[in-house]
Amino acid sequence: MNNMGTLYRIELRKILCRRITVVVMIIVSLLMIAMNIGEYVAGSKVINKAEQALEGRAVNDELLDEMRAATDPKNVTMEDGTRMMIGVSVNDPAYQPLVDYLATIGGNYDKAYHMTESELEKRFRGVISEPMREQYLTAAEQDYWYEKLTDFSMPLTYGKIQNGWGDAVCIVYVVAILSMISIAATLSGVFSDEMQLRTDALIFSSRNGKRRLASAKLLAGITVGMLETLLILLVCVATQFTISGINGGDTSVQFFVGPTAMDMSIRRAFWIFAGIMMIIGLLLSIFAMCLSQICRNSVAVISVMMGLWLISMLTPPYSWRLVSQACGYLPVTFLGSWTFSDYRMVSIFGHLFTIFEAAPVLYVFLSLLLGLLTGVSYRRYQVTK
Amino acid sequence: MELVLDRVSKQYQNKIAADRISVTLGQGVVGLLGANGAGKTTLMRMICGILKPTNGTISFDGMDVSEEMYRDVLGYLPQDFGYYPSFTGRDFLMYIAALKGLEKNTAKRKCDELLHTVNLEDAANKKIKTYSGGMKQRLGIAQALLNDPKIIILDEPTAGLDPKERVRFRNMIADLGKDAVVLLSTHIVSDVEHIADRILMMKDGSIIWDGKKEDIPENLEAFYLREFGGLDDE
Repeated sequence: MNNMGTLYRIELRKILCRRITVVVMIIVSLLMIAMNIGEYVAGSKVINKAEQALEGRAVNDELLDEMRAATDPKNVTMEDGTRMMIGVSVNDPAYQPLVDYLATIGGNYDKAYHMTESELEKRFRGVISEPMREQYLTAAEQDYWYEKLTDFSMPLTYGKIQNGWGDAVCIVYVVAILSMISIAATLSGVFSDEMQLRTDALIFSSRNGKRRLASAKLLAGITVGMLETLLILLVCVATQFTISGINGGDTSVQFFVGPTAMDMSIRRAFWIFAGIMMIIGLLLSIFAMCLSQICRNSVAVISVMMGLWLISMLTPPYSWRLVSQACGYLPVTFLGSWTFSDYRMVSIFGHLFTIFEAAPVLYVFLSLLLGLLTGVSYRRYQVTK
Repeated sequence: MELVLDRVSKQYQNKIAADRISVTLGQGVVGLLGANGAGKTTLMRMICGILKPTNGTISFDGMDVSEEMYRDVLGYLPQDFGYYPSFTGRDFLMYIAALKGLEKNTAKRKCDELLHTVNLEDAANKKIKTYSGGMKQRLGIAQALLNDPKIIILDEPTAGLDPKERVRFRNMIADLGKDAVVLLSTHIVSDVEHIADRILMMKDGSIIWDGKKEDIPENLEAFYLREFGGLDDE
């Protein structure tokens, strides 16, 4: 009998009974609670009802006129006698996020104050074009994005900067870090513990010890890793929705991540992030187990994963195209607002794929590859100590 | 029932742990004697398929050591018997039974039977970390016998057992030799003297003596010490 079911259940038990698993889950839970309560107490999550007034409206001339009516420009007279706007005073708080956003697009508050619908569209396309130039895009990539821009639907749908969906998108970055920490801790011993406990000799001399146990261990590890990721995601997102409310899902992602050619609703962005986060959970789980098999030491696994996380915070210059693009795909730092302005694409058999299309496929492929590598390394393992 | 080792060698960088060992083991208890570092554990690991020989082949009734079928008839008690401290004795045996491919009901029956045999029935539901050294060793012997093996490799099985238990296990191993190939490594010469049908002596990775107890003209311990240079020729 191959006893896969029994072996899978026992491997699950081994992972869950590790003291470090329990300790890390408690620490991660406390971190999540402290972080969310802290934000709430600090006031950054207190809902401003006034800001909800404009939600769902198109950013057209009508809205821009209303914004101007609710805003007083702050002018100063220069030495040469010319007057210059250095800021605005927004009388109605509902318009403040819109003014700030327009100042980002226009470059300053003067431009923001005088913005028209056609000017906004022109500037918006210009703002998007800039990173495209900076990122050393190939001719084919540029063609792709400029064609995409012609399909771009203007005007944008306005949404309050703070809403449940937007906050949920932003929190996924934290989820990725917490998942990485908990996965590194809980799965670091899946294979290495057998060597440290010296149970490897018994396992490898048994019928199911070489092939089936490796599969049972990988399956159990993936189950735990993905459940941890899902749990952390659910707790973090549920907290954001509880604090900020489940509203503003149709708002353009532009208002959360800055100007981007990858326009979509914030709700859709959340589901993409959540889906990719689960795939990252899979990748990190298999990566941790692969390290556990190869390094044969739990501490080394945790150290390597933390080291890679630190490395992923480095941003190589765009001129190092391959390195810079590869760094953009490092999983723990992938799910941030910056990903929406990464226009470099992956070409496979002449077809171009955007970062959001390529990343999940790449992560699944890497997971399979690492799983295979783990299996091969496990079968080749010899008991020498 | 034949376990055949054909020119089996194991070389680590600049050390030969096993040097072209060729031996055929049949049914019965074979005692393996040798000083520390002689290559006994290396040889046993290779027979168990957990260490790949640099050269040579190992097979049992035509089955190669790397085959699953071979491991199906193998029972092994390593020198450093590893266990999961948070498992109970029964859980541990059930886990090993699953690894050995036993069906659930058979596994339960075999576990109960062996817990009784090794006198661990009362401690079966206690965590292994609470066991004494002797109890752990008895559990180790039980796990090796779960699949009614035809090849039984025991590396220092009586280490840590009290004299009474040692005698009991010695007799048990002698019984096992009636239906299987038992290779027993130990430092305790008297254990080998009492139960081994055949004795192998290893030194520096080679078998320097292979014969029956009856072939030894004097008592085994004196002969062993003479062969290993511990006793002057008189």
